[in-house]
Amino acid sequence: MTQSTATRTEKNAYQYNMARIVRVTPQTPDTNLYTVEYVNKDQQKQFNFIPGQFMLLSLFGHGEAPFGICSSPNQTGSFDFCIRSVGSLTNALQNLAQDSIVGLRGPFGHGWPMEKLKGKNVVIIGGGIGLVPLRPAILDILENRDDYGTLQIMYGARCPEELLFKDELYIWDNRRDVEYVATVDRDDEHCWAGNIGVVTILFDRITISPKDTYALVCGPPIMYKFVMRELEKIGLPDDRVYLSLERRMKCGVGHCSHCLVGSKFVCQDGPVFSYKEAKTQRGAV
Amino acid sequence: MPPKKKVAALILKKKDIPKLVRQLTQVLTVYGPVANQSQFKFDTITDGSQLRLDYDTTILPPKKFFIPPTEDMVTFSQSPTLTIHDTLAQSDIESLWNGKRFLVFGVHSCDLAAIKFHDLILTQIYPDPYRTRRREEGIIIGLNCLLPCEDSFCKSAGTLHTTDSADLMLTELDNTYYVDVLTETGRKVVEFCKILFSPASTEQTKLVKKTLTQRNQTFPDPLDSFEEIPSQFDASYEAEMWNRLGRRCFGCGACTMVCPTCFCFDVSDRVELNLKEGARVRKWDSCQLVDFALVAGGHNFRPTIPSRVRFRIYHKFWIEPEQINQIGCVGCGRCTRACPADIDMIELLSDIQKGGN
Repeated sequence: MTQSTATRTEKNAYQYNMARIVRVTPQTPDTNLYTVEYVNKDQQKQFNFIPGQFMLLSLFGHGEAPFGICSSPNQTGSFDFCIRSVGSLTNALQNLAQDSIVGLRGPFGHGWPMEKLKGKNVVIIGGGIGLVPLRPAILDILENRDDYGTLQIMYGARCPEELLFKDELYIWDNRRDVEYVATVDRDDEHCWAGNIGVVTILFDRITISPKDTYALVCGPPIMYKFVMRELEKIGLPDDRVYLSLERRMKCGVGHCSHCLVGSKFVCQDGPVFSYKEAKTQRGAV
Repeated sequence: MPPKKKVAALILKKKDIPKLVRQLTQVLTVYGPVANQSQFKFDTITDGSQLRLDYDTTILPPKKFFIPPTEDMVTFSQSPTLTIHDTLAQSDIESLWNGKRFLVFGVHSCDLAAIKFHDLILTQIYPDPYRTRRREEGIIIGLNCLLPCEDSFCKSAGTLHTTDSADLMLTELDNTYYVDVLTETGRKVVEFCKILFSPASTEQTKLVKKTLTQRNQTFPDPLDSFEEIPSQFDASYEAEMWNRLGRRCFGCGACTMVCPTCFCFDVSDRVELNLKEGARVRKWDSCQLVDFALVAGGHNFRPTIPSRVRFRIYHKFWIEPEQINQIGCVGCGRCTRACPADIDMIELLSDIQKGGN
């Protein structure tokens, strides 16, 4: 597995590499897209990752937390994180001036099975901020569109204001080679003409063929059980369904044990697991 | 590393222990068991008379010297620009005299087994560099237990006779200690204080063997087929016993704080009053505390006490055997002694063996 040898090197996994925030693009009132580049230019040139991998981002004095990389793996010169403010670190991030320095460790873990997806149909199911680690996979597929079969994207958010990457959603919606459906849990402002309900209602709006199809799923913990049930109904085998799990993480390298799911470390063995594998670990889904 | 040339067993007179300590403290920081009110603890030894090698068990295991309760991973300063200083400085571990090395005196077999266990569990993916450095700097003098301590089940757990991770292993023999030299580092220690050691006689070797054989027979063995517990755990996963234990447990985490094999940690930043300097600090954490599995946004993967009580046992008796083929419990009994709700590990494990209901 080339992926595991790439992440499991002998160097001190606790070493920080400094990166500069070059751009902050607001997405929603509490969520920003942070574009960063390594301070060290060679390091930036050598940077690569697999869609679905994450990094630990530090603000010294505020702490460190894991965030999925959000940009296309083909983007050069910089990369992105999309971060919602929900705690002290993420709030402090939101108040940072451009050109501020953050510490990074990683990329860590196993990402989406991009090699296996080549020549296959792909269904992407994202709930809320769960779209973030899926975006690199979507962008990679769109940038190499001929390498893949059909692409179906199902996206659910709590309300219309919380939809991320709205300009891209518009493009996906209008591309002929992408089938895009979205829903919101509620529309208090009456500004939404589309579906209303949780993400699983989209299974009635779209036809998924189980033949040669892979599904990539990421969303809030509660979502998986229901989405897995729908995918089972369609007849998608467990080893062609992949999900990215979220757990508390402190080290990213299999020491602190916060992220244990059964005998697996979400930080190193995941965060992406096949449903087949996740099923064997208690409490995963 | 075993000694470069085999060293025959040695004899150290009890009355020479203060001399040995005096000599060692000249070049090393020495820790050992000392009295702490009615109990014992591992603490810094400056004088041999402080050493209580007759101790039964200590409140905290010697784990604290290899994984300190709190430890600065990096220090940082924001003025004028951000600078980061890694605390992982290299030290020359070949030399006993470099001023950074330390020695832990009188470590019992259960704790030696736990140190060995950490050597395996904390290197499965990446070696934990902080512990690895301390482990390289630390020298361990083990001590065979000749009397069982209350609540322990080391014989059942298979750790009673462990000498793993010790550099020297002592066995009490009348007014002397019989010394096995197990590693090259151990040989260097003996060499450094060689005037205090004399060769053991054949009779003494025989006597030690006999003493240990007798000891092995007389120690309590409260749990049959301890090594079967991981396979029995599955059947008890949904059992009533976890609700029963959950109703008793206060969720204080004392069991995990005193455990020699627990190693989970939290990481947070400490900021000095000038708001310019600080450190990233790693500290012991406990899976028994409510926020251990809490994620941003408020979802808690183990929100109830029964789920957390079960997780501690699940980790030690199912997850760790899956990962490194070893049970994460050495039978020291500290969790039982520390529990304010009187939850008894032996009882808990025999409940699992009975199917958990």
